[in-house]
Amino acid sequence: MSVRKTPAGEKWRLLEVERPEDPYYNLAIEEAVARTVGEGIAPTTLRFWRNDNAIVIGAFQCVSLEIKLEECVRYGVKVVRRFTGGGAVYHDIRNLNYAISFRRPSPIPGDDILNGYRMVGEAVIAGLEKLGVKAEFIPVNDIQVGGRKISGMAGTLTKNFLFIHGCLLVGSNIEILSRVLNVPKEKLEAKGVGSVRARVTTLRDELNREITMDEVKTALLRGFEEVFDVELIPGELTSWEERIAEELYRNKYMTIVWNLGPCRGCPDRDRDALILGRVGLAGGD
Amino acid sequence: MQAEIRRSIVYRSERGKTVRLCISVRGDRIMHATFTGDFFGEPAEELNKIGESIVGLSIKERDKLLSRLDAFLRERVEWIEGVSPEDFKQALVKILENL
Repeated sequence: MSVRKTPAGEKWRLLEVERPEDPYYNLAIEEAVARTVGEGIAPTTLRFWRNDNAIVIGAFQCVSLEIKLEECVRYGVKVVRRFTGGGAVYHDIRNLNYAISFRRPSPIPGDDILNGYRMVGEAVIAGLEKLGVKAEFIPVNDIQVGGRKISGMAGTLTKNFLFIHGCLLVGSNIEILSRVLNVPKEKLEAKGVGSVRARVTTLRDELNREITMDEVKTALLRGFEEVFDVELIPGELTSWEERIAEELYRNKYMTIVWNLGPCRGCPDRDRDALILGRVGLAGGD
Repeated sequence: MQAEIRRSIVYRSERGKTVRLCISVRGDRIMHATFTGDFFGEPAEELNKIGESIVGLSIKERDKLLSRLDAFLRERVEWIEGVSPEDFKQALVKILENL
């Protein structure tokens, strides 16, 4: 088991690069940064970013089964598949995404992704505590307040990098979330709730006031610095990352074949390809 | 030509995540099979092909189906979390019970 303890005061990069109106480019940046950190070209990086009105589906999910595509068209919700597993999530401009890329061996014990969710979860929880919100980590990958989900994480472990990202419901429109996601009743029953709405909460609801993104980011930043004992220094994308992101954007994230996913035998595939085309995706099957 | 029958199932793992299996059958032959879900794992390209391991087999050959699936998961999947290899097999068993 290889473990790299973070030297006290090590400096990591903080990125706040985002294109909220273009979720496909945001996801391309996610993967470009993870790859670049994995290659040792960039330091461990924490990124904060937002999408404005998009569903981000897990790498192994089926668009037809998990999303109500016609509702997405009605509400102008874009649909993009990410490169990590996990479930489908709805992002709006009041949802904050955090993403951390580690080169291996990472400071996560055992380079184990479950430990990664726990440790990154601790950092987020430490940040939320600074805002006056008491949260807890719920395995496999959730953060809850009072039994309701406020953040979920996903991630992956490759030969070169361990990558964890998550989304925090700051003041999100949960009504749209419950209309566009198709959560299996088995999952709701297992959680003991009758609807998506009953299962989630937001920072705004917990604090009973509006909160700015800057307040949230500052608190989370302190949480990560505290848990990992590092200093986060604001930085920019390298030219390498910009090039990789551009390639991933054009050849992967903007294509229908990527965003539709693995269900090649699905009878709804052609119909769903047409719908995704209507929201601006390119490419064929 | 015989009609194609389609079935799907949602299987909830004790590890917290869900496996979905969509399958189409003509006669007793599996024409298409896709496992999807909210699990995690690598390599992604192989995880997206799990269902292909049982395409072309007969739904009457349960042991062979499970063996083929087991071999694929053992040989081509590096790691998986949120579900276990057994969960994919259980999803298949349950859908076969309904065919």
